[in-house]
Amino acid sequence: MQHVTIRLLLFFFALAVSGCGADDATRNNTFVPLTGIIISSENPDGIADQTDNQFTAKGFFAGGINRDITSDATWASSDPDILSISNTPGSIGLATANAPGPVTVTAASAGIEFSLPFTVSDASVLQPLIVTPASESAPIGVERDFNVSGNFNDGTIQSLDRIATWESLDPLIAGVTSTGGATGVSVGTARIQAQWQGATGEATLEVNDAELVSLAITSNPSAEDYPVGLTIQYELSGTFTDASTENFTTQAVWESSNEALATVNNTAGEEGEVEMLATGTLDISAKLTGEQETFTRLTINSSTLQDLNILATVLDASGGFDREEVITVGETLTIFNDETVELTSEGEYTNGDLFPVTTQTNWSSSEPSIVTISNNTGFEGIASPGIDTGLTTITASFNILDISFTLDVNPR
Amino acid sequence: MNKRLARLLTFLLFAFIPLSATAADEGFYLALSGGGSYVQEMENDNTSGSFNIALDNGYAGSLAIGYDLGNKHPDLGRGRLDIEFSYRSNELDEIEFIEGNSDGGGDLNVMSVMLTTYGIPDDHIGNWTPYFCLGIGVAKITLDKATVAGSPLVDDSDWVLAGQIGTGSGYAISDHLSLDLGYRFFATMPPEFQDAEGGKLDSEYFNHLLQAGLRIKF
Repeated sequence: MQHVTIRLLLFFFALAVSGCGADDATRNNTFVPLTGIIISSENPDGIADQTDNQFTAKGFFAGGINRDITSDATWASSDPDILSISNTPGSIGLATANAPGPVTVTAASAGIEFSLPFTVSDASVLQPLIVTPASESAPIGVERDFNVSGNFNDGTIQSLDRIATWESLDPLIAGVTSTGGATGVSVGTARIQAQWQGATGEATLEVNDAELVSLAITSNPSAEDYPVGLTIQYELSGTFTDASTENFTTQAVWESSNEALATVNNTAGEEGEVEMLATGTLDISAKLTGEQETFTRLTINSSTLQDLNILATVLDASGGFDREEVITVGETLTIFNDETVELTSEGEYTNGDLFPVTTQTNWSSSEPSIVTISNNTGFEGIASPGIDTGLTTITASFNILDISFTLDVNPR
Repeated sequence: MNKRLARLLTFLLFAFIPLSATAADEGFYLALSGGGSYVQEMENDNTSGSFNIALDNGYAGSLAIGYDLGNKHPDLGRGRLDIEFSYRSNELDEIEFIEGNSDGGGDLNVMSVMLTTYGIPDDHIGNWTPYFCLGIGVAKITLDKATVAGSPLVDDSDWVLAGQIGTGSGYAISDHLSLDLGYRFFATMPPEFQDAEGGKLDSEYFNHLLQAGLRIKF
């Protein structure tokens, strides 16, 4: 009987523990109704004739939710002869200027629409085009990206990346893709040229014969071991015979030797992201075409999250630094309604380790009409005052902890 | 999830017979109990991705009719077997999507019928008799008028296989009446719900229950 008891208890414990916790949400809240739309323009002051412009739409939903709805919206132009706008997947919201004149751009979704006045000017581009960087160097086979923009005779500058054509003037040394990615094929200096509307601009790519001699994987943040529940970024860098280094993180194929302990991401834009799932030791490997491969040993420890340290950086109305405050649970941070707060979070673990977790933290505001707080990639933890003033509770949730404090927004 | 429940069901098959142990005093009994219900955050998946439902602590109640198997087989120990009808209810607290958390509304209600067997070690502490239990049965899981930020989310139910495991202790108040304090971990196969947009959701249910009750032996 005692034997059965132990088996039962062990089984129960394993079942209960394995059932703990849900993964982070991966879908948008499409259940709440849309209440408003705002259109943003890549070039807010308008564009020149024959150029293009990307419009984006942000949707505001019941419950204080907002998100990018560019690809969900239906786009229209009041005069397609002046400005046509795409509803084709892959280029939704991308407008092309066909003639000078005023126009109104409209984004509509779920019966709600927003219109933005826009202008296509008759400005013409000046010679030369601006290609950046002006010069680059790379070993044979390693790609370098170039960008192009144009100075116009009305004083404006516009990116021409999507519409310029690219050519290598020295194709035996380097080739270039239609989007400005240049790769050397032999040693020498290649002139990379961008063209648009008869104007041209050049940059140079110096191709050397350095050979890849080693690959190394590094982690950010760097530590000897990591706790369960943390996601960290791994990077693959290569060192060449001339001592130059190259980041190959996005070109590598990443693999985990034990996906029950940790998974590694190969999704575009998230390459090399490793999520710790369970305690143990495993290898993370990265492989380049040409069979070059390396790996690093990853140890996941059993420490647990014991605190979440929140730092608030208050930015003034012009976006400049105003002050910095360490937030303690339950305290009230007072700001004016023209100020913005950048919040960062740091996980403190039982073994004393500290890791930045701002991008892994779920940020929320109890009163979105007073403050909205972003969870969007690149903008995590940025709190922006809304249309009302008053008190709102800001909550940072990461792993097993929720930390809340009060933000008091006052009128200027 | 399926692997865990498969392991539970397999284990139950092997564990049932030795746990259907005998008891010193054979006879039918009736048990009534109630307690606090905690449901782990529910992950809901479909082709659009996943969102999570966090629930408030709730309540639970149960009625069981069983038979004390007595102590006919001392080599197997003592035991009981009962059919338990139970009800668990928790209100929705918050719903997590990519954009963050929104207020949830509505209830998560679970009705279950479980065949449960109890193993009773020989050790006693005064009038306290510890036990552990295993059960298998079916559950009807209902997301009742569940909302997110006031908008409909799910209003649907599903019948699924369920299992439970637990431990506790009975206190003999008299020869026929016992006070029972216990804990149950209750899990089901993934229920499937239709959401307010007409899509199917694969959900989950893990429940922890602390309960107190009375057992009357006839």
